[in-house]
Amino acid sequence: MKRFVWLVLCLNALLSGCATTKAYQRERLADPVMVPDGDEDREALKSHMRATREGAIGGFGHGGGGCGCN
Amino acid sequence: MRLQLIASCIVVLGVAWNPAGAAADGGDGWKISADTLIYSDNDNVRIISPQLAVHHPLDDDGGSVGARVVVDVVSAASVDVVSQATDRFSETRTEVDLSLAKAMGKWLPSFSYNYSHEPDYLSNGFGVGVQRRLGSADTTLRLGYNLSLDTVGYHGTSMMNFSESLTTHMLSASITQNASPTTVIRGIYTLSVQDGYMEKPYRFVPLFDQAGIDKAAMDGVSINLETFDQYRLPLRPAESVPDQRIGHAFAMRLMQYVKGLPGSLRLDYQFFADTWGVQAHMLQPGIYWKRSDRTTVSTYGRLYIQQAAGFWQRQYIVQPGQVPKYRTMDRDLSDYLTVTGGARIQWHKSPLTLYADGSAMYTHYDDYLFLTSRLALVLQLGLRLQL
Repeated sequence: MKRFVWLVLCLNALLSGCATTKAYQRERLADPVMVPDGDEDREALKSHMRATREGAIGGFGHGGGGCGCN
Repeated sequence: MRLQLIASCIVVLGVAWNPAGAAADGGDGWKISADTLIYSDNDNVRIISPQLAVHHPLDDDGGSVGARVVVDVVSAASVDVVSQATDRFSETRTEVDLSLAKAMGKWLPSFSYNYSHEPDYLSNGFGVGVQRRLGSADTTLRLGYNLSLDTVGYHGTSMMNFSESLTTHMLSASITQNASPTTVIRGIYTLSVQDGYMEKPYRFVPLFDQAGIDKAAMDGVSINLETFDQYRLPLRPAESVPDQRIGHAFAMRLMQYVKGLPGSLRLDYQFFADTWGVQAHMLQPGIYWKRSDRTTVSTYGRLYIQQAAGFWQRQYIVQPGQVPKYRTMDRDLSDYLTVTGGARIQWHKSPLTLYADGSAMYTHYDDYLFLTSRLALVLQLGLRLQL
């Protein structure tokens, strides 16, 4: 029962998020240099090139399918 | 398969072609992207990858529809190729990606499909994901699942006569948090499960016995690409690796706006570990500097360090008649380190954006029989047109 209560509390904390900024404070965060994903098409091309040369899978790496392993 | 692709494109573009709806949702017009990546290294590999993409927003909450086509034109005579007594080869890989995301209240579900074709490799990938803001706009959670169904063939042989399959499941969760009005943090976890054929059918592994190693030492010869054929055993079996690989990747991204630049600092770190014993660390710092309203300059570095798979050996030294169960010459499973340095300049004047990105990648292989280092130059050029 205790575990269930903890689980509910943790899920509630996670799903309610963490508010740290007001709407008028988000000017810097909206700047293109602060976009976490960057340019999707540019990154996809580079990411596929890296994925075929690095042993790691996942994380920041994605970049489409296929082998391309030369 | 081509008909399936054309049908998929029509469905996706049909969903996108809703000017009244887009206007009502406040969406912008089409974005057309054209990119080309040129890769060249001193291991005789040249790749040119032109890419064309179109995207159209469906709402103001990240919903969009898009299609992307990329072609890799590869010409290679790397040690991986010549060590198998094969000449330079050239081939073309074509990939088509389709994506669709549409906001539904606080949820942003997304779907993707990708198709990749090479003469000896076929891949179909399906992805579903969902993104949701948690509470305020400062926390975003994203969950995703990708399934890739690959078929490995043999060049010049019909897939009716030789084909093996590989299934890849990828489950990912990421959370992005605005930690302050100038700081963004993102954490990502990815579970990957691969089942099936992960060998390369062209790769054969030289075996040695102790007598051959001793003879090379007596001759004062180090065993490498030029000499290994003189000292190896006659038997050269095909590569063999386990049929299942489970990997875990943990990644963190920290972004800090710096008013004094003006611009931002970025730091990425990633740790990867899998059931084959491969472990890898990646660290990538970057600076994004707004030189003017139109020009942004960025520089970045990247360090990738990898520990080899448990069954990796520089030289497989065996007893007479013995063949190791697992054996590979895949250098991507070896111990190595790659250092990358690069810079990008981007220029924007509505509706056009142009960029040029150049980088150099140096790789040092600690324990690979055929190569100790590789230097690669990568140039990427692109334009964006916002209609």
